[in-house]
Amino acid sequence: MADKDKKTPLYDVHVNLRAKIVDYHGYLMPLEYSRIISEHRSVRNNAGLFDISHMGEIIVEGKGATELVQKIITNDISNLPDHKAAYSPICDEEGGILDDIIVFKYNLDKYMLVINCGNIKKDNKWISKFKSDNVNINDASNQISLLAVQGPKSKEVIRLALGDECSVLSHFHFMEVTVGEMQLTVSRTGYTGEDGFEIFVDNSHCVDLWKMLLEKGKDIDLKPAGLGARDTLRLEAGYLLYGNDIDDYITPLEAGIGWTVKFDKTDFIGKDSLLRLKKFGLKRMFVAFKMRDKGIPRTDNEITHNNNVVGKVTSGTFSPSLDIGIGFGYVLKRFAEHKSLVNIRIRGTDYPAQIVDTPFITLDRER
Amino acid sequence: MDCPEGLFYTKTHEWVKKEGDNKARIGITSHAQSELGDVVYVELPDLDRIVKAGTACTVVESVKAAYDIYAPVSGKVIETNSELENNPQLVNEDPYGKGWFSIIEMENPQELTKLLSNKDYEELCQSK
Repeated sequence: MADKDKKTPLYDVHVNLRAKIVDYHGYLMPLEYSRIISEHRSVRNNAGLFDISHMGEIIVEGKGATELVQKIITNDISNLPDHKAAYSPICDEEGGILDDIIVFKYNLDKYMLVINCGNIKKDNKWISKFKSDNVNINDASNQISLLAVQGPKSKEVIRLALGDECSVLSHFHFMEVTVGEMQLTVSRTGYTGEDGFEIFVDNSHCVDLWKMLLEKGKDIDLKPAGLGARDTLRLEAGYLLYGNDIDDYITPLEAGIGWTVKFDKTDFIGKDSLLRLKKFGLKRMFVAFKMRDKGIPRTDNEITHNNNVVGKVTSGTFSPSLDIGIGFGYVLKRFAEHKSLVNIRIRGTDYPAQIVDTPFITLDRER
Repeated sequence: MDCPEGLFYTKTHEWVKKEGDNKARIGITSHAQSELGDVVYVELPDLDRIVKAGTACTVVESVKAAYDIYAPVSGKVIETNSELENNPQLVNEDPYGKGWFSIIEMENPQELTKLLSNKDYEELCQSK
């Protein structure tokens, strides 16, 4: 990673809140302010506020914007209404996942791609390769900050802080709003499995927005939450993490997000390879699993069956909601299809785990 | 800094309490538990296991990761804290009391002299 010790505008605020700071892909980010489990519970029961300004934003603008976005993503946005977002992988020619992103469509000539912070340079370079003269690509990652309000009471926080209109946005819709001097893009999106909102703000107003949200959220006990809770929340919700669960060597078909690959749309990068893979069948498949009893799975633990290694863990943690170890990984296809009872090899001992559907928990999300 | 006097400390953040002539009760320091975060599982050594000072003898898992805990002294494990099986958070709540890990029958109580005092340990933590 070339860039090191990058800070979001909220770095000093996090330090003053006595957050434990960790390096995340070159960014100094808050891991936890209090404890991961209590922050996790705040989000599941109430609401939490996250600084996720490390995320990247690429603005694609011009007459050729739709064509370019359609070419680089596997999902189909041709019927996506204005001011709605969509999830999609970006694949290379071999179908390997270069990134998984959220596409925000302002109109046919303007999109914002929200990308993973570890992939900012790679994505910019990749997308530029396919751009024509009638499109402009602007990497706004260093100008735009991003805050997330997540949890069953996030709607109330947003209503008090940003107004009624924002608080009634439909799931995956977004709008632009001016609050005081702040020009914001507010979306009903998130990475926790709860109802929630994400707010894009210029760096210059990021700290003001953070403070305002905490102030307006005081009565409902809105609490700052760190990347630690973000990870346990996304795992319980069944969301993949780029770099752990997916990367350039894994295709969307194997990763269990085949629904994001629309073979019927116009040509897109990776289509031929993915079609071939679909035709000849997959060897390995993504699975989510839950420990039967003891053991906390971790990245790179082996997944075994009758003492044979049949796969590998890509993410694992202790689930605060279920009070048990949960994880993701890849196994040989037949074990995934039969929802087998497998073992996770932790420090040389095999602990039984059941392959399950995601999400791990029942999410009561207001749409 | 919360490090009781009279205990021995290691650079790897374990504490030792000498009990009787040759018994050592061990655990991790308040500083260590705070760095680890929520402790959700403790894998204790089997009884009668012979451990060597400086080698891993216990695993503590927080939400984020698993950490090795090293035996501060050599000897035989004669007791472990079974309370931790159902209440691993005792390590966070009461690291020097109910959150203890095991009792080692020391092979050589002289090893204790190589460990740190609470003052030395506090200095070590602050210099980081």
